Amino acid sequence: MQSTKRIRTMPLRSAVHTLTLGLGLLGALFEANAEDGKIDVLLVDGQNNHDWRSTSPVLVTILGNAGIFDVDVATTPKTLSEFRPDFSRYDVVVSNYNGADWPEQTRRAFVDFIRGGGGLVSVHAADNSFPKWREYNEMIGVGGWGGRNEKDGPMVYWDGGKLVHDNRKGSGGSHGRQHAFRLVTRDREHPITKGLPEQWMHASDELYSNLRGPAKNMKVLATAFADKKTGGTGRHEPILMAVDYGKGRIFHTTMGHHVGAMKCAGFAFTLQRGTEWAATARVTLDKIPATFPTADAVKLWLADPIYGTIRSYDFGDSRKNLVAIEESCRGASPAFLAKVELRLLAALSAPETKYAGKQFVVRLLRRVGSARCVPALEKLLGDRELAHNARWALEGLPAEEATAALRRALRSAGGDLKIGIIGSLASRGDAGSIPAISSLLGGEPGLSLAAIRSLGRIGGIRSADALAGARIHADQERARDNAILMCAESIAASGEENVAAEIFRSIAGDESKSAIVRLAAHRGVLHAEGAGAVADVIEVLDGSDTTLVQGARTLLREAPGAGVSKAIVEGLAGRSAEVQISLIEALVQRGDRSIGREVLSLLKSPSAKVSRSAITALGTLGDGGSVGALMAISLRDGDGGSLRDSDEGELASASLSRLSGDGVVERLVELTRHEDARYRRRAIEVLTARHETKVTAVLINAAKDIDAGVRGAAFEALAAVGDAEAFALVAVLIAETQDDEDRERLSSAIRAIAKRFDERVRAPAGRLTAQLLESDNDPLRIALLGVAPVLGTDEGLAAVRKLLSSAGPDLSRGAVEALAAWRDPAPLADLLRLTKTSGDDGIRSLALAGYTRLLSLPANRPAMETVKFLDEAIGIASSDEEKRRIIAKLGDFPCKEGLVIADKHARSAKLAATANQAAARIRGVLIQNSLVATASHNGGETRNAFDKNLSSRWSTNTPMKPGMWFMIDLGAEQTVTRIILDCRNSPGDYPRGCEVYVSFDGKGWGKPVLTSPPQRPITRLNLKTPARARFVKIVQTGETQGLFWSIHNMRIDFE
Amino acid sequence: MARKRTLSRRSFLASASSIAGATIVCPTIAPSSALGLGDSIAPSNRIVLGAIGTGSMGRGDLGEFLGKKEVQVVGVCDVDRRHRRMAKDMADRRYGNKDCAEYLDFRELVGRGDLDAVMTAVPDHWHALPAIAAAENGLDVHGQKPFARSIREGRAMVDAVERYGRIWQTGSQQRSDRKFRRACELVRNGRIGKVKYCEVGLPHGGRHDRKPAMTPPDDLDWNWWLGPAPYRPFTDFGSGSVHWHWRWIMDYSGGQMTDWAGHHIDIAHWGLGLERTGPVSIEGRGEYPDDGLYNTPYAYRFSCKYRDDVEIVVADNHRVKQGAKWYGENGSWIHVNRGGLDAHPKSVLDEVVGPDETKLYVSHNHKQNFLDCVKTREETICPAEVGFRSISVGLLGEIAMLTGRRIRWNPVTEEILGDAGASALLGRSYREPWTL
Repeated sequence: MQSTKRIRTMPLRSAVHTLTLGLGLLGALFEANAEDGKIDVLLVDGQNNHDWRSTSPVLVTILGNAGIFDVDVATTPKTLSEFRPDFSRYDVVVSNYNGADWPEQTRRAFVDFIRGGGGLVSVHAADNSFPKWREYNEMIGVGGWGGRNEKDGPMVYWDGGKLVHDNRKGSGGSHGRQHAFRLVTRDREHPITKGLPEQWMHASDELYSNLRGPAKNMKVLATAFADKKTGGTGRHEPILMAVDYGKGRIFHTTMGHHVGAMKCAGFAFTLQRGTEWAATARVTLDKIPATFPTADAVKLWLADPIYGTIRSYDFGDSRKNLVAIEESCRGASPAFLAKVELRLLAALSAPETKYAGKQFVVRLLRRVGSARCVPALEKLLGDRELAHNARWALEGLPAEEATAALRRALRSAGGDLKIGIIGSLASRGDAGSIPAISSLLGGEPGLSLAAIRSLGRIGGIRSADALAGARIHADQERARDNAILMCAESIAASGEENVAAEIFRSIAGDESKSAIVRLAAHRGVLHAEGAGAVADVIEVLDGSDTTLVQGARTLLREAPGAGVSKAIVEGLAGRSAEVQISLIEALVQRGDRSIGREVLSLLKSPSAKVSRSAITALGTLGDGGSVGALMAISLRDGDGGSLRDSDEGELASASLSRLSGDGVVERLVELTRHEDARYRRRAIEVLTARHETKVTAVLINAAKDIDAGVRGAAFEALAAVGDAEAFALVAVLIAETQDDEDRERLSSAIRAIAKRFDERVRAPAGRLTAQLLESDNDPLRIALLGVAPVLGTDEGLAAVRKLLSSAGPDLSRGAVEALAAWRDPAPLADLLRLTKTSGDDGIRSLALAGYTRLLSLPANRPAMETVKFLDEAIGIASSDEEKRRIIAKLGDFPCKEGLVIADKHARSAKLAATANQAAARIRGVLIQNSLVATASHNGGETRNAFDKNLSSRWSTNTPMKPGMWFMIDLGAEQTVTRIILDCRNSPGDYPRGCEVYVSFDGKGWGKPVLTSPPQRPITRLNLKTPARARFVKIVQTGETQGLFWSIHNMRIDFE
Repeated sequence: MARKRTLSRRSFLASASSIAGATIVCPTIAPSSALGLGDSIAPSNRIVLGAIGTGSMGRGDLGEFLGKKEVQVVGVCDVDRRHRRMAKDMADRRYGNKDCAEYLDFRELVGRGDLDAVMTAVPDHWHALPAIAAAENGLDVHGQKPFARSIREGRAMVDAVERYGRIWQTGSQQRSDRKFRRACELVRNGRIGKVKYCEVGLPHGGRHDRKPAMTPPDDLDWNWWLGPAPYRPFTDFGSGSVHWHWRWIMDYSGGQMTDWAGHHIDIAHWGLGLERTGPVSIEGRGEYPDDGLYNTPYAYRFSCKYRDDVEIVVADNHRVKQGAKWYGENGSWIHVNRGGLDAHPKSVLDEVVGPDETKLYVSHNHKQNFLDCVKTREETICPAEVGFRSISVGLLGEIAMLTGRRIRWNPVTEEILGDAGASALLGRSYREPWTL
C-alpha cells in the first residue's frame, strides 16, 4: 500500500529508500527540519479530476527551484479514512486535491492548523473541492462546481474598476475554451504581486469564471478578461486571490489546468511567492525573474518543468519524468537536442542535483552532447565519484575539446581516475596522448598496465616504439607483447605492411617469447606479407613446441590467397617428411586445385609417409592428369610387392574413386582400352567405385574382354551401375556367351539391374522379358526366369505360367521358383494349385514355401483370412518341418482366429512348441491392444502410451512428484516379464525413479516387485522373477523442478 | 587457496614432443581418480577447463561440461560466493575430491597456466574482459551469448581470439539443432527462390515498475559485480538479489532483444549467408517502460537493410512470429523456431539437398563440437566473428531505437556514418580501474 511518498531530497549515502510508508511512520519520518531555515511545505494530492500525477511533480519542481522550500507530498490513500497527515509539522499546505471529503478528524485538524496561523495554497481545481465544507470555502474565498450556487455566496468579478459581489442566482464555476490570456495585476503592493507588470500574458489555460463563495477577507490580486469570443463571461474574472482566515493565510490561484499551463513563468513565480506568503505572511522572493512574461508575450521558465525532476532524483525514485525526457530526444531535431543539452547542463550544475541525477544527465549527454558540455564535464573528471560519469559522456564526443579536456585531466587526476582517463583516451584513439601515456610505463603497476593496454589500443608506430623502448615490470611482458602486436596490426591496416611485418618478425623470431605470442606474430607476418611469409611459418613446423607447430598448421590452412598455396608448394622442397606431410594436409584443406601437379611430384618421395600423404591429397587436389600415376600405384598391389606397395595401392584406389577434377572419367575410359589387362580391369573397378553411370558401352565392351578378370569386373560394374540400356545389352550377352560361369554372373547382374528399376522402367523391361522367355535360347530363358519375379509384370507372369507345363524339367522347375519368388501375391492361386496337383514332391514343397511366402506379403487382406490360408497350407504340408515353418508365421498375423489355429496345432506333440510360441506372440499383441490403463494424472490420455505412435504421449502435464502413478489392467491374469517406457520424444520426461507393483484385484499391492533408478530416455523394467498378475502399477518416485513425467510408448512383455 | 597443478593437454603434448626420440618416461600426471569415478582419459586428450560465471546459466553449462569425460574442471570463478560454492561442489562431486579451486578474480583463474579453455556465463557487461584475458593467455573459450554488450568491445574480443588463433564457440546452441540447419540449407540452396526479406521474431517483454530495495547480500561482491559498468548503489533487481533480472537494465544488457539476437538473428544470417558481414542501414522503434527500475525495450521492431536490397526485420513476437522466417518468390516461405520447421508450399520440406549444393556445418551437440574443435583446432560451428556479427545487428538496432534515427552502417569498417551521437553509443566507457 502506497499511501504517502516522500519526495523530500535526502543525501545519497544516508538515504532511507523506503518508499512505502505506513501512515503510522509518517510522523517519525516527516520531521520538519527547522534548522535549515527552509519553509516546510506539504503538497496534498491523490484525487483530482485533473492529472495530478503529472502536475504534482511540476509543483514540487517549481517550489524546489525557489530554493526556500522543503516539500513533502501526502497522497491520499485508497482508504480515505486513513488519511491523517500531521499538518502541524508544516508551515503551509499546497492543495492539488479535488476529491472526496477527508475524514472529520483530518478536516478538524486542518481547520485548526489554518486558524492557528498555517498557510494554504489552492491550485486550480482545488477550489472545486469540498463544496459542503464551510470552513474550507471560507478559506478559499470563492469556488466553483460541485453544486455551488447562490446559497454559497456571491459571484465575485471585477467590473468598472472595482470588485463586484453579485448575488444573482446561478451555479458557480465555468470556463470557456483554453487559450492564452492576459492578466491584469490589480494590487501591485501586495507582497505576492508587488512589482509585477501591470499586465502579463499567461500560457494557454482554463480561465475560471463565475466563481462564488463567502468571499470574506479576500483580496483579488489579479484578474483576466474572459472574452465571449472564447466562450467566456465577457467580464474580468479573479485569478489570483489572497484570503485571511483566523491567524492563517490562503493564496488562491485559479491557473494551472495542466503541465503546459504550469510552464508559464508567471504561474511559477506567483506560486512561489504565494506559497511563501501563505506560510510566513511575507515574501522574500523580491527579484522578479528576467523570464517573467510581458503584456504581449507568454514566457515559460527556462527549464522545462520535467527537467526539474533531475535535481531531486535519487536512486529508487520514480523515473517517469526522466523517461519522458529520454523519450522526447528520440528522433528529435538537432535544434531541439541542443536545447536539451542546455537544460541538462543546468541540472548538472545545480547544487541540489544528486549523484543519481548527474548520472542521468551524463548518460543522456552521451547521446545529445556537443562541445558545449565539455567544460562542465571536465570539472567532474577529478571527482572520485563522478569521474566515470563524466567520461561516459566525454569518451564518445567527437569534439576536439573533449580530447583536450581528457588530456588535461590525465595530468591532474590521480590513481584509478588516471587509469580511467587513459582508457577513455585510448578509446578515442588519441595519438596525441602517446607521450603522456608512455611516461607512465614502468611506473605504478596498475597505471603502467593500463598504459600498456591503452597504447596497444591507440596503435601505430609511435605507440609501438614507446612500448618497445620502455622498461617495464617483468610480469607485464605478456601485456606489452600483446600491445605491440595490436600496434603492428593497426600499422598493417593503415597500409604500411612492411613496417608491420618487421615488428611481427622481431617478435616471431624471439625465442624468449611464449609460444602463443610468437604464433600471433607469425600470423601477423602472414597477414601483412601473404605468400612472402609462408617460408617463415614453414620453418616453425620444424620446431618442437606443440602449440607453435599446431598453430602454424592452422595458419597455413587458413591464410587467404592462392599465392599462399603456391608458396606452400615451393616450401615443400628439402623439408623433413613430417613437415611435408603437414604442408600437404594444409594444401588439402585449402582445396586449391591449381597445385595438383606439384603434389603429383611428391608421389616419388623417398619417404613412404610423404608419398602416402600425397596419394591421399591427390584425391582432393588432383584431376584427369593424376589418373595415370594413381592407377600405376594402385596396381603395384597386384605385383606381389611390398607392404608399402599394397598399402599405397589401396590409398591410390581410394583417391581415384574420390577424384573430381576435369578429365577424370575420360582418362579412366581410355584406360579401359589399355594394352595391359590389369589396367583395363582396375579402370573398370574405379569407374564402378565412382558410381559412374554413363559408361554402359564401355562396360559392355569390357564384358566381352578376352581377359576373364576384366570381364568379371565388368559384370560387377554392370550389376552396380547398369541402367535400362544395359539391361537389354546384358540379355544379349547372356544369349551369346558360351561360358557358363560368365552366364551365371551376367544373370545375377541382370537381376541386380532389374532390382533397381522403378515403376516406369519395370513395365517395358517386363515386356522385353516376356518376349525373350518365348525365345528358343534356353540358357537365356533360365536367366530371365530369375528376372521376371523381380519385375513382376502381368506379361511376365503369363510367360512364366506358359513355361510351367510346356517346357522341359529345368524350365518348369525354374518357372515354379519364379512364381515362389514373385514380387507380389499375384501367383498365389498358381502355387496353391501346384501344391495340390504336382506329382513331384520337390515341386510341391517349393510351391508350398512360395505360397506361404506370398501370403506374408502386404496385400491388404484381413489377418483372419491370412491365417485361414496358412492353416490350409499347414494341412497340405507333408513334413513336420514344413508345418512348423508355417505355424511360426501365424504369429505375424495376430487375431483370435490365429490363436484358435495355433492352439489346435499345439495339441500335436511335434508341433506344440512352435504353436505355443506363436500363440504367446499373438496373445501378447492382443493384450496390448485391449489394455485398460488409468493414471494419477490425465487418465483420459493413457491410450496414447499404447498407440505405437511415438509422437503422441500420456503425460502428467505437471512437474514430476513422488507418488504419481500409471496403472494397467491386463484384462486377464498374465505373467509379466518386462515393461518398457519410452519417452524419446520428450527426452527430459523420463521417470526420476520408479517402482513396479502387481496385483490380482487392483486393490492389494504389497511390496514393489521392482525398484528402478532413473533411466533415460527409455526406462527398461526387467522383472528378475516374472510376476503373474492382472494389474500392474508403475509409481514415479523422483522429483524435478519443471519437467513432466511422460510416456510416449509402453510395451509389456509376457512369458 | 589450494592450487593443484594438473597436467593439461597442451603441456602434456609439449613435454611429449620435447622428449620425442629420447627414452619415453611416464610424465607425472594427476591420478586418474582425479578425473573420478572410473573414467580415464589419456592426458593428451584431456581438456582442462575453468568456469567464469556460475549462476544458473553458468552452472547449466558447467554441468554439461562435467558430463563430458574428456573435460576436467579445475577452477570456478564468480563474484557471488554462494554460486561459486555451488559450482565447486558440482565439480568436487563429479571427481570425488575437493580439488576444484575457487576464484573471485577471473585474472587469477586464466593465469593459472594449466588451463586449456574456459567457459564464460556472466552478465553481458562482463562478457569482454574475461574473454580477452583468456585469449591472451592462450585459452580457448566457450562464451555465452549475447557475444558482447557493445560493438567496440565485441570487435576487441574477436581480434584477441583471432590474434592468438584461439578456438571460440558462442553458446548459440540452435546451430547444433538439425531443424535450424535444415532450414538454413534449404534457404541457401534457393529452395524458395531468391530471398529478399526475412523476419526475425524474438521474445516480447521484460519487466515493469520494479520498486527496488537496497540491502546488499553478504555473499555478493557488489563492486566486482558491477565491474566496468557505471556505479549504482546495490539494488535488488527483483529476485531478491541482482541475479537474472539485470537482464532488463541497459547498463548490463539490452533486454530480451539482445539476449535473443544471438539466436534467431544468428539463424537468419546463417540462412542468408550474411554471417560475416552486417546491415548497411538500420531503423526502428522500441517501447520502453515509462517508469521503474527497468529500462530495456519490451516491444520493438527494427528493419535492417543489407547490400543487394536484402532486408531483415527484427521484432518482438507480438509483431512477428518467433523464430526466423525467410520469404522467397511466389509467396513461398520457410519458418523455423524451436518448436519446428514449416514452409509454404509444404513440398519445400521434402526437398533433398544434393551432393554438389551448399552444405552447412554439421554439429549435433553444441558443447561437444566445441571440445572437438579444441582438439582438432578447426573452427567451431559458431566462431567469434559469426557470434559477433549476430549480436552486432541487435546492438545496432538498440542504437537506432535509442536515438530514434536511421543509422547508416559500414559493415567493413564498422563505423556509423554521419551521426556522432549514435557513434558514441558503439562503445561504452569502462569504470576505473577497468579498461578495455
